Amino acid sequence: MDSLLNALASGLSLGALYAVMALGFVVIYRATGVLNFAHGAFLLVGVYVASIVSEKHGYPAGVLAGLLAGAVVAVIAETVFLRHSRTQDHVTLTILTLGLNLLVVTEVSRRIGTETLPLRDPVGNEVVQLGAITMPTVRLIALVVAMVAIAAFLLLFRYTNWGLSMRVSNQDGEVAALMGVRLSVVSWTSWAIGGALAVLSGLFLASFPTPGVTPALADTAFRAFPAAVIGGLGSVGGALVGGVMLGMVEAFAATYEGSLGSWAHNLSGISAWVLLLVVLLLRPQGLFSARQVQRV
Amino acid sequence: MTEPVLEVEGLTVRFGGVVALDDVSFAVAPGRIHAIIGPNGAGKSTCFNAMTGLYPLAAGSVRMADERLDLLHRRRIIGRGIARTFQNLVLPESLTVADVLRLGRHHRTRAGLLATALRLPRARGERRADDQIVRSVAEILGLEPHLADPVGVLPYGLRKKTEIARALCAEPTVLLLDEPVAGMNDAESHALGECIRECREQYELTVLLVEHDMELVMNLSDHVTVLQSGRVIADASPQQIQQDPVVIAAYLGADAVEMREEAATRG
Repeated sequence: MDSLLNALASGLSLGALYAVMALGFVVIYRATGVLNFAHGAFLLVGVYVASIVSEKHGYPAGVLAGLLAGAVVAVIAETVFLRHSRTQDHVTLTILTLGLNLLVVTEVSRRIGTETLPLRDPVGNEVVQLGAITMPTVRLIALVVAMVAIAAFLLLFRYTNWGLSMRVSNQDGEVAALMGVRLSVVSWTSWAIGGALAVLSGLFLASFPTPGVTPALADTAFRAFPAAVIGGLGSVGGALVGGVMLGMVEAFAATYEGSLGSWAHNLSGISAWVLLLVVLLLRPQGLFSARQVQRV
Repeated sequence: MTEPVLEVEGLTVRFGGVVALDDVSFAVAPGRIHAIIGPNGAGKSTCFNAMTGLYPLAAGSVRMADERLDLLHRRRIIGRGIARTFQNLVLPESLTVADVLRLGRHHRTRAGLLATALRLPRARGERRADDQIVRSVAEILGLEPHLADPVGVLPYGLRKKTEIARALCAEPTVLLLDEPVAGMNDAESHALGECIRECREQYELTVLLVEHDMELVMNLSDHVTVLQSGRVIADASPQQIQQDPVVIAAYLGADAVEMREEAATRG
C-alpha cells in the first residue's frame, strides 16, 4: 500500500515535469508546424548554464540564466535555421532540428566531460513525509512549480491575443497575416517559450534524487515526444495528460520492476514507448486529437 | 463620379509564363457594391489575392486614398481598412466562432501580452469593446447562438457567414468577398445577399464582390467589372453589362467579334 502511494506521488511529480516538457514541444508545433527534436539540446544548454552561473551567483540567478539561455538558444535556432530557411517544408525542417540537436548536445557534452555538475539548489537532498508518502522535497516543489507554469500558460493561451494568434497561425498563415498577425513574432515567442519550458523541467529533472547535470539529461527530453503523441499531437490539453500518464507509468514501472523478474529489469526506461505503442494501437489519433470535431 | 475609394491600375500578375492578370484597371466608388465577374479561370480570385498582397505584382498598382497598397506588407493591409474572405473556407475548425471573430479584432488591439495578462484597465476596456463588436456583428449575421460553438461543427452556410463576420469585425472600409454564396441554394444566397446589403448600410461599407451567381450579382451590385482570360472586357452598370454582346459572348462561348459585328449591323 505504501509503495503504491509513493509510486503515485512520484509519478504525479514526474508526470508534471514531463507535461511541462511536452507542453513546450507542442507550443512550437502548434505555432510553426515543426516537430522540434532539438528539445533536448535546449534543455541541456539551459541546465548547463544554470549550473555554471549558480557556482558564482547562487541558485536563483542560475535558474534565471538557465531559463533565459534555453529561450535564447531556441530563438537563435528559429531565426537562423528555420524562419529564414529557404525551404518551408515542415518535414525537412523537422529533420534539421534532429541534426541541430546532435551538434549542440555533442558540444555541451564535450564541455561537461565525464563530470556531474551540481545545480546547488538550496533544498538539496531533503525529503518530506506526508502520511505514508516519502518524497524528495525538490519533487514536491517541482509539482507545484509545474502546475503554476501550466496554469499560467493556459491562461495566456486561452485569453490573450498572443494565444489566439498562436492557435491560428500555423493552420492559416495567410489568413492570420491578412488579419494583421505578425507571424514572425508568433513564431519566435513560441520557440522562446518552448525552450524555456524545456529548461524548467530539466532543472528539476537534474535535481535530487538525480545527482546533477550530465549529458544524458538531453535524452529525457525524448519523453516529450511520446507524451505529445499520446495526448494527440497538437493538442495542448493532450500534452498535459500525456505527460502525466507517462510519469505515472514510469514511476509504477520503477517501483515494481524489481519484483517482476528479469524480463522487466529496465521496464521504467522503456515504459514511455510501451505506453505509446499501446495507445496508438487503440486510438491512432491520440487521446485528445486537436481535430476531434468535424461534421461532414 | 466621386473620388474612388480603391483604384486598381494596370494590375499584371504572371505565374511563370502564364499571364493570369493582364493590365487590369478599375475603380471602386465609395459605398458601392462592386462586382467582379467572369468565366472560370478569368482571374477573379487572382485579382483579390494580388490586391491583398498574397501574389507579387509583375506591374501595376493598387491605390487607396493615394497610398500604394501594393507596396505594403500583407500584414499591414488590414490596418488600411481592407478585409477579405476566401473562396475556399479558411477557418481553423477547433476554434469557437467567438475566437474566430476576435481574430478580426487583432489588428486593432493595442494592449500587449503583459497588459492583458495583468488585466490592466486599458486591456480590459479594449476587451470589452472587442466583445461588443463581436456580438453586434454576430447578431447581424445570425451567428449569435453559435458564438461558443467550434467552427468545425457548423454547417457550411454558417461557416461562410463566420468568415464574413471575421472580416467585418476588423471594421474595414472596403470588404472583399470571394464567392460568398458559392454552394448555397437560391433561398440561402438571396438571404445572404440581403445580409450583405444590410451590412453595407450598417457599417457604411464599400463591398467588392467576386461571384458566379448572376442573379445575386445583378440584384445586389451597383457596378460590374467583367474579366476574361485576365483582361477587363467590360466595366459598367449591371443593366449595361446584361446587354453587352461581348460579355454575353464570353459567357456563352460564341465568337465575341462576330457578335459585336452582328450587334453593330442590327444597331
